[in-house]
Amino acid sequence: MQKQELIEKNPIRHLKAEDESGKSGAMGLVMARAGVGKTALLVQIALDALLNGRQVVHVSVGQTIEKTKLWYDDMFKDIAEGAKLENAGEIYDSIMRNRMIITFNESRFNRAKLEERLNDLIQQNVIKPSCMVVDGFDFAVTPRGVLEEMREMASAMGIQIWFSAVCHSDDPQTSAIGTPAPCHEVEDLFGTVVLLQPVSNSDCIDLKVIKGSAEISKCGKLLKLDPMTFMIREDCK
Amino acid sequence: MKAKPVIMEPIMKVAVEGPSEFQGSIMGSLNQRRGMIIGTSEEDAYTVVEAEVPLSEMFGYSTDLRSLTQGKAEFTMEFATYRPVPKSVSEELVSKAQKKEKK
Repeated sequence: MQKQELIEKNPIRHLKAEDESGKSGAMGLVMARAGVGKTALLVQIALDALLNGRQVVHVSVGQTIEKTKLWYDDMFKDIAEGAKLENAGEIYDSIMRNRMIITFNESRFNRAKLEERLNDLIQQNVIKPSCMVVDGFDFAVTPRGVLEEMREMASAMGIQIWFSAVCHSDDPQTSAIGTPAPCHEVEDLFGTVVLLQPVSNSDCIDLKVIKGSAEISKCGKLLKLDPMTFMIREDCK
Repeated sequence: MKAKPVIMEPIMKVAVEGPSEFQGSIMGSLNQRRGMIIGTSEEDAYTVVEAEVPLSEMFGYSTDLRSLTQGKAEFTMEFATYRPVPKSVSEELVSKAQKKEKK
C-alpha cells in the first residue's frame, strides 16, 4: 500500500477537533478509564496528522521521552504491517522529523511554561506545529481558566489541541450530553468529546463521540478500538 | 550502478542538559548540525534536550555548546543507528572520491 492510500483509508480521518464552524485552534478531548487506550488514540491522531504532512507536538505530563517515543514506534509498526505499507522505514524517518515530544513533571506543568516552550521551538525554526496532543493533563485539579487560556493560545497559534482525561467509575457526575466527571463542566470548551468505553459481550472498545466530529456522524460508521492492539478500526454495521 | 548503493553514516543519540533559559539556543545548535530533535524534558531548573545527530557533525560541539550557554550546559552521546546520508552530502563525498582517484 502507498502512503496516500493509507491516509485515505485510515479510520482516524473521521475524527476532527473542530466544532461545527470548522475554525482552527479548536480543542478535542478523549476520555476513558485508566488503561483503556487514551494514549494509543492520541498517538494515532498524531500519526494521522504527521502522515498528512503536518507538524505535531506531543506534550506528555509525567512520562519520559523514551516511553512516549516507544508508543509512536509501536503504533507506526502496527499500522505499517497491517496496511503492508511500502517504504515504511523511509516514511517513518521523514514524518518523525515533524514530531516533537515535550515532557513535564506533574508538578511543573503549566500553560505559561508550555507557551514559552512552543515559542522557543517556533523562533529556533525547529518546528511550527499545527497539531498538539496533551497526554496526562490532570483535569481534576485544573481550573476552567487554564483551559480557556489554552484555547486562546491554540487559536492564536492556529493549533488543534487534543487532550486525554481520566474518568473514574466512582464519580457518577455527568453533563447533560453525557460527558463524565471531571470534564462535565468544561465540555463547552471542546469541539469534540470522545469517550472510550469497554462494551460487555464484545471484544472491542466503543469509541463513542459524545460531542462534535460532524464527519463521523454523517458517515454513519462506528469506530471501535481493538483491545489487543489499541488500534482504531472501522465497523460499518 | 545497477544496485543503487547508498552511503550510510553513524547517527548518535545526543542528550544535552542545561538551564531552561538556554533551551532555545541548544535546540538551534542541534538543528544546525542536521540534528533531529526527539524531545525535551523539564527537570527542576534544568532542561534535557534529546536529539539524533550524525557523528560527522558532532566534532567541536563541546566548544560551541560551552560558548552558547556560558559553560552551563553539558552533553552526552551514544551510538544510535546508521542512516543513509542526504543526497547533497553523498554527492559531495562521491565527487571527492572521484577526484582523489584521478590523482
